Amino acid sequence: MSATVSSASEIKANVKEYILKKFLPGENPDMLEDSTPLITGGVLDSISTVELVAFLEEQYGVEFEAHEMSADHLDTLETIAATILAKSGA
Amino acid sequence: MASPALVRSGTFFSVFSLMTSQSTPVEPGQHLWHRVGSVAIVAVQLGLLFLIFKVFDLETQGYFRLTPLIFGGFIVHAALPMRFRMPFFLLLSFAAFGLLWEWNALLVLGVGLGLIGICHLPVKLWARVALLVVAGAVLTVVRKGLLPAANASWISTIMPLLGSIFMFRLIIYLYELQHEKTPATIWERLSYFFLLPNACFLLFPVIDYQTFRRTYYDTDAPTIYQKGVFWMFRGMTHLLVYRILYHYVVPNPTQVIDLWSYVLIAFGTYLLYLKVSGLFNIIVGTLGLFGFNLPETYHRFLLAAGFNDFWRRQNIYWKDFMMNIFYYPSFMRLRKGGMVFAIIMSTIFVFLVTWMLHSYQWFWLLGAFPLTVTDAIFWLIFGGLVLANSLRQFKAGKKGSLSKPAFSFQKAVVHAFKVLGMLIFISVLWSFWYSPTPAQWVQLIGNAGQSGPGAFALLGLILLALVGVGVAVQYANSRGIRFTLLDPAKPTFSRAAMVTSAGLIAILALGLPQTKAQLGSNVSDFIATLQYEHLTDYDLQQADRGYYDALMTTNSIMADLGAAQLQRNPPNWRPTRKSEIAEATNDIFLYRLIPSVTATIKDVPLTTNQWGMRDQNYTRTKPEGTFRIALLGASIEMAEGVRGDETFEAVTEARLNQELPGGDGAFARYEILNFSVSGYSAVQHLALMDDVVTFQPDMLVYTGHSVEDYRMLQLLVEIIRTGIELPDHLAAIVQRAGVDATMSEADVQQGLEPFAEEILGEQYRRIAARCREAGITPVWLFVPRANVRVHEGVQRVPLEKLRALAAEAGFVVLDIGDAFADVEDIVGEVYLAPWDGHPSVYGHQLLANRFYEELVENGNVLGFTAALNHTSTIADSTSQPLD
Repeated sequence: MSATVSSASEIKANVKEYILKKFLPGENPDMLEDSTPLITGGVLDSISTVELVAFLEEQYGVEFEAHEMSADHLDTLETIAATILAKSGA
Repeated sequence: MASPALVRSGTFFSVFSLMTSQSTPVEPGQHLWHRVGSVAIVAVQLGLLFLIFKVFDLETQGYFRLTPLIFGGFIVHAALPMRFRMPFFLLLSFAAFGLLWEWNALLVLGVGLGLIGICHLPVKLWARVALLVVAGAVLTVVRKGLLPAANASWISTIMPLLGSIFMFRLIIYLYELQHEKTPATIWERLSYFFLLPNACFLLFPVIDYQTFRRTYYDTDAPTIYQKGVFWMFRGMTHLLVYRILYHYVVPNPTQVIDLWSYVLIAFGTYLLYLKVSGLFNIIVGTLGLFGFNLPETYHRFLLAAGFNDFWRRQNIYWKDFMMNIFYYPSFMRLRKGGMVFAIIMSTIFVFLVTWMLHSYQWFWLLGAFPLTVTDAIFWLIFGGLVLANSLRQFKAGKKGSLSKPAFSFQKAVVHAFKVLGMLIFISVLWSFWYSPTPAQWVQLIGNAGQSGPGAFALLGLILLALVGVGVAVQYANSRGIRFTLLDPAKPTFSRAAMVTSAGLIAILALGLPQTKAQLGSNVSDFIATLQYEHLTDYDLQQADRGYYDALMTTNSIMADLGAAQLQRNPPNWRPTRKSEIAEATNDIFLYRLIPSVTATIKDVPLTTNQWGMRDQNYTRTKPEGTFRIALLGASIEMAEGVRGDETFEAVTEARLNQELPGGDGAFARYEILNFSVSGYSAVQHLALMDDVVTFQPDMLVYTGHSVEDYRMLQLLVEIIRTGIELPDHLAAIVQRAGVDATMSEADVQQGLEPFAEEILGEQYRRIAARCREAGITPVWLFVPRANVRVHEGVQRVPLEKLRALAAEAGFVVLDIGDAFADVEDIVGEVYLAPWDGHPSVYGHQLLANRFYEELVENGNVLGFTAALNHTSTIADSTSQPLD
C-alpha cells in the first residue's frame, strides 16, 4: 500500500515511527532526531538497511537502486526524506 | 561541521594562508596563531613518530625514505590555499612513487592512466567492462611471466604495485562513476589511485571512492591532522606489540605439545593480525595529514560479540567494499524471490567473492593464486555463521539502542560470555586458517588434548575470571568510569595531542641507549630485540629450506610477515633441492648435487664440476706446491644466485693466488674446493668427510652460522621420519631421545631438542678428529647471515655456545661475523633480492674481504703462509693446539 507523499516532515515522522518500532524497541523517541546518524552510527546494518528500503518502497511507491543503499541517501531521517522526495518528484 | 564548499573557498595564498583565508573551516573566535600552533603541535608529534620509526627500525625501508617527504609535504600542504592542496598532494604522491620506484613509476603512471581512461570512454558500460577485462587478461599474462618481455625485471617489478593500486579501486571507481552526482576534479580522480602511502605499502586498505571524496576536509583541518598522527601512533604501537607476540609469545607449530602451548599459538596467531591493522592505521593516518578524514579501518575487533559484529569491526573497508559492490546489487536483483532467499543468496555470494578476491589479491601482489582447502573451509564456516546470524536477526528483528542502557548484571554476564566466546572461536578458527593443511591443525588440536583434565579445569577457571573482569568493566562504564584515554574514532584535538605526545616520548625514551643502560641488561636486551625486524628461528629455517614459497601462499605466521613486506620469491626462484641440479638420495644426505650439470637457479647459471661440487674443476690429487682448502658450508657458501666466479670462496681463492704466491716460502698456488651444498648441516658435513679427505686438503674450513643447531635438528627430524638409517652415534642419541619414524614432526622435534647441543658437538668432534687423522688443519669460521643482524650486542642465537663447541672439538675458530657491519641498507645492498636474504655479489665481496683478512692474519697458525711474516691473532683466543 503506497502512502501519498506530502511533505518531508510527514516522511520523517513516518520513518521515525517505523525505525523506533522495528530497530529501536523501547527507545525514548526524543533520542532519535532528524540528524541522528543511522548507518554511520550503527543503528542500521546491512539487514536492517534492506528492510528499511523495502518499507520505503512499499510506503511511498518508489524504487531504490543498489548504489542508493548508502549513507549518502539513508543516513538520517533528513536524508531519507530528501531521497524519497527526490524520487517521487515532489 | 563546516561544509566542503566552505572548506574549499580559500582565495589567496600566503605561507600561513591556512590561518588567514577561509580555505579551512574557521571555528568562531579561533585565533590565527592558535591554528599555526595546532599545525606545529602535529608536526612535532610527527617528527617524534618518525624518530621512533628510525630507532625501532619499524616497517619498510621504503616508508622511512618517504618520511622527509611526508613531513615537509605536510607542512607545505597545510599552508597552501585549499584549491592547491589536492594538486599538491597528487604531486607529492608522484614524487613518492618516483623516489621509491624511480623510472618504473612512469610506467605505472602510463598503464594506470590507460586503465582509468578506459573507465571514461564514451561507450556503453559493458564495452568498458569488456575492455578492462581484456586489459586485465593481458596484465595477467604479464604477471605470470608468460610473455617474453615479461621476464624483464622492470616489468615484473611494477606488477605488484600496479595490482596494489588498481585491483580493487578500479572496480569501485567504475561502479561509482555510473552514479556520480557531482563530477570529481581530475585531481580527485588521480589522487584516489595514486595515494602517497601506496608507494611503499602494497597491502593497502580498500578505500571507498565515495568516502574518499565525501570525507575530504569534512571537518576542521587541525582535528583531521591530529587524528591522522594519532592513528599513525596507534599503528606504530600495534607493530611493536606484534613484535613482542611474534618473538616472545607465539610458539611455532613444533612447540605445540599441550593445551597451554595450543592456547598460545591460537590466540597469539590471531593477535598477529595486529601487523596488518598497524599498517592500515599508519596508511590511513598518513592520508589524514593531507585532509582525508577517512573512517577507522578496524574498530576494537577483539571485542566483537557475534559473527556479524566481527564482520563489521574487522577490516571495515573490506566489509563496505563487499556490501556496496556485491551484496546490495545482488540483493536487489534477487529480492523478487523473497527477502529470506535474497539474504541467503547474497550472503553466500559475498563470501564466495571474498574467498576468490583473497586469492585474486595474492595473485597481483605475490604472483600466486592460492585455492586451498583450508581457505575454503575457513570461509565456509565463517560465511555460514554470518548467514545464520543474519537470518536470525531478520526474523527476530534488530534490537538497537541510542541511549546508554542501564546496567544489568544478567545482560553484562551474557555480553561478557559472548565476547569471550567469540574471541575463543575466532582464535581457533584462525589457527585453522594459519595451518598449512587441515591435517596439521588436527595434529595441533590432538596435542592440546593430551593435557589432563586439570589443565582444562584451570583454563575454565581463567576464562570465568575473564568473564568477571568483563562484567566489572561494563559496570564501571555504566558508572562513568572509562578505561580508554580517548575515543579512537573521534579523538578531540587537545586530548589526542596529549595522549599521542606522551606515548611517543615514552616509547622513544625506551629506545634510547641512555635509557636502556638504566634499565638493566635483561630489560635492555628485551627492548633491543624489538628494535629490528627479524624472523624467529623457525621461520628463518623455513625460509632457508625453500619453504618460503609454500608458506607465503598459505596464511601462516610467515605469510603475515611476508605479505606485509610483499617480498615473495618469483616462480622461478627455486631452491637447489627442487632443481634439476640435485637428485634425491635415500641416505643421510637426503639429496646430492649431480656432477657436471648446469641449471639456472635464482636467475643465474649454476654449474657443478666433475665431482659434484659447485666449483671449477680440480684434480683429486693435489698438485705439487699447492695449498688446498676444503670448504664445508651450506647455502651461503654454495651461493645460488651469484656466478661461480663471484662467490666469496672464488673471490678469496683468486685473491690468494694474486697476492700471496712468490713470497719466501709461500705456496705457488692456492685452491679452495667448495664442498658446500645448500641446506646441508653438520650431520651431512660429517658424512661428507669420507669424500673430502680423498682430495688431500691442507685445511678444512667448516662454516658455522646462526641457528645452526636448529637447522641440523630439522634435517634430522626429516631423516628420522623418513626411516633412513642413522650412523651408530646418532642412532644411540635418537634412542635415548625416545623418538622414531612413527611419531609426528612436532613430537620428534620436541624429543630431540634437549639433545641438540650434544648432537652438534658430536658432529664437530668427529669432523675435527677426521681432520687430525688426515693431517688437515680444522678451522671453524663464523659466517654471518645477512638476514640475522647483530644489533646492539644482541645475538639471536648463543653464538658463544657454537664457538665453544667448535673450540672444544679442536677447531681453530675464526670469525667474519662483522663483514656486513658497515652496511647501512642490508636489504638493498647485501640481500640477493628483496625476498632472499642470501648474500648478493656485493655481499660475497664483503665476505671475501674479511675471509681473506682472517686467513692472512692467521697465516702462520694455519700453516699456509708459514714463511711469511704475519702475526698470529688467534692463538690467544679460542684456537686449540694443532697436532
